[in-house]
Amino acid sequence: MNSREDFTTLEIISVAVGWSSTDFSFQISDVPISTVLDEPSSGETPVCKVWFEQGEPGGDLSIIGYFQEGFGQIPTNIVTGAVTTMSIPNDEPIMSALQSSGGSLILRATGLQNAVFRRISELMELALEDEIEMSPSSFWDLWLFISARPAASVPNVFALDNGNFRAVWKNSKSERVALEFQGSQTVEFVIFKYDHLLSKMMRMTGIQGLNRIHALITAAYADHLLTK
Amino acid sequence: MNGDSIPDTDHVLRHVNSRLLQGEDIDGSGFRLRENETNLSFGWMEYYRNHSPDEQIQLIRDAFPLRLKKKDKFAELNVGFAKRHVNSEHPEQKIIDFIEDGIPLFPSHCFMTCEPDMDAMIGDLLAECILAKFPAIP
Repeated sequence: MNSREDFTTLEIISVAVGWSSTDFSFQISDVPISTVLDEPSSGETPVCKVWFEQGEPGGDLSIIGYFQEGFGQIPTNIVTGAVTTMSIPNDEPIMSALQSSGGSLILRATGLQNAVFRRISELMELALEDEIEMSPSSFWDLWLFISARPAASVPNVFALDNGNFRAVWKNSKSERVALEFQGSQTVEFVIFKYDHLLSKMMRMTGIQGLNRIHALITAAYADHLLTK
Repeated sequence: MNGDSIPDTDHVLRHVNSRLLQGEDIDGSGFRLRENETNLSFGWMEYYRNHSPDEQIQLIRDAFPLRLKKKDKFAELNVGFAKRHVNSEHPEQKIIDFIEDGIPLFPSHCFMTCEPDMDAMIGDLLAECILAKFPAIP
């Protein structure tokens, strides 16, 4: 097992999280790992495996690996990690990063990803207790949203009875941005934003595509709720 | 009497699953219909009018028909404040009401109506009206 052929060397790509390039070695083996939330492949969008490594069970998320379908290598040092398979739309930034890096991308988890992953792990246990099957597509849309915004503040996250995840950013003035990730790139939003000129809380709700939700938050002048 | 509106001065308790709260924060999704609900269900505290508030809460816990878990909570609303808040703050000026609907197993049961219909914002508006939170299991 220690022969050089058992390992694949990957270059860690520096993306928005600002990690310098380093080499990582992976062993080609069938290490048993748990699954977070697997989404059945639709066949219409590329499939990606995402590996979450925690230092210890329930501990901090240290590394996130994205592997394009067919890449197949599994890290040697996975003991407590979890892996999930997801279909990702071609226009997601992670896909172009993945393609330009040759099909694999390994990133250090941001504080935001770490906090959300830890919270999702708690919620998964509670949902299991309630016999609620959480939506892989909802999880993935939430994950893409927060991963594209590493500087965002940590939201509260809830596991709804319908299997969707809801992330809520709010402040002490009762302003809020609440996003229910309904899966399949659809988000139901509730935004409360105080308008100082009108001296009134402006309130709006509706459904928007995942790729346009941030523009909507910006248009509502509610960006500040997502920043630290 | 069943079918009557609960007086505005009275209070109701909504059971909130632990998945819908984080720390001290109860999410608006705690005020959404559950799979088996046709209207939002509450326990009416003043149904037990001759008891203290603590006793009212315990009597509602004792009769509550769903399985309660240690981390679940009950959220208390004042009926009149919740009605006025939703009506004045929802852009569509929705109208909610709380209707007495006791059954032998859960005599303090009441439900909330919403005209013309419920949406996601109603829950967030109700969450702003929470007066107090109580553990589902003391």
